[in-house]
Amino acid sequence: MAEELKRIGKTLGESLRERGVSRRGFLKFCSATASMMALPPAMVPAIAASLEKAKRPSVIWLSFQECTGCTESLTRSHSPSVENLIFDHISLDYHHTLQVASGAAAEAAREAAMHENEGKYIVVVDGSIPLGNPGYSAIAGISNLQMLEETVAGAAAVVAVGTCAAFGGLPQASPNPTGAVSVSDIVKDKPVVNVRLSQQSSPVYWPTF
Amino acid sequence: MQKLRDIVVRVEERDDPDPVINHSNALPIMHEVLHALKRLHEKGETTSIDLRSIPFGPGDEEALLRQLGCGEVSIELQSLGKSTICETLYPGVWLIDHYNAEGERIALNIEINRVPEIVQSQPEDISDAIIRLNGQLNPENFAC
Ligand code: SF4
Repeated sequence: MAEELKRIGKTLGESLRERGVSRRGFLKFCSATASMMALPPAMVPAIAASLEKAKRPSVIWLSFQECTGCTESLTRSHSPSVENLIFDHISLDYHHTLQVASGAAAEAAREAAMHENEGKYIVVVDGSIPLGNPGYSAIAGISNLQMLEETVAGAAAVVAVGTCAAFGGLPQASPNPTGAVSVSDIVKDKPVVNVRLSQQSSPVYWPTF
Repeated sequence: MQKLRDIVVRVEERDDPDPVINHSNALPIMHEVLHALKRLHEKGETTSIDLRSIPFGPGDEEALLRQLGCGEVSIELQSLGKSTICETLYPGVWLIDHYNAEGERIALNIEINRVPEIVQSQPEDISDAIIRLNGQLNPENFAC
């Protein structure tokens, strides 16, 4: 825990160096990221500079109508990589599949993260949101729509991962029995980044954060 | 899962006296390299070209790499997987091929520079080296 607290004030660059990633390794990662995101190589120094200075963001991960494939992909990175070191660097304050707490304790963690990081936290969503009936998908008695709206209200940005969250995906396929919609169908007043690939796309998540 | 590159593409054989001239996207890249090399020589300006972002047809990339060839210097970098870096037949034009720890290619760039940026020792690593070396040579100063 003390170790954890010490890391909170550090930038990503400092944290990676502490974990044995050389600056060369970091530049290589930034080059690959630029290529993967179809950004010109001239952007690599800017990517490196902004990632280097990034402080540990609070991330609230909401899973709605999904198959857990997106979460699987994020936890299934192979041997030590910058991606999973960045994963260590973020503060994943709420993820109902990965966290130990459940029910009221889990919801309290989400509310605390929202309160302490007002205007600065990132909301990640996997899965689509059913509008047909609030009871189709709910967490701790809170419908997906209500949870999304109240969590996004104080967020800096929203990342929709996987085709379900980005475009409605499988749940939205005809005849769309739950009235599934994507995140951007609901969130109109915050930046929404759609990371549309699923399962294979974990290398893309972390630079996005 | 099958990857795009696993799908076999057959290249029709043809008379190919100059592969660069005859392949669609290799020729403009060679011109881009030439202009970048002039800028490096005249103004010291460096350039990087991401070959994975270019829509190559079958055989284009191979033709380009054949034309660039391998020159006097080749370097292997071991950092988060292997990278091979070689100066091509044209001094100042480097081919940088990055792989991840699983051996998958993650970037393929041409860099026009005196020495590629990633080969140069980085200030952050140098400062870390000073601390470590100092710690080894003067352990008494680091005891806490
Ligand atoms: S996007 Fe794919 S992996 Fe993610 S929840 Fe939907 S079906 Fe599952």
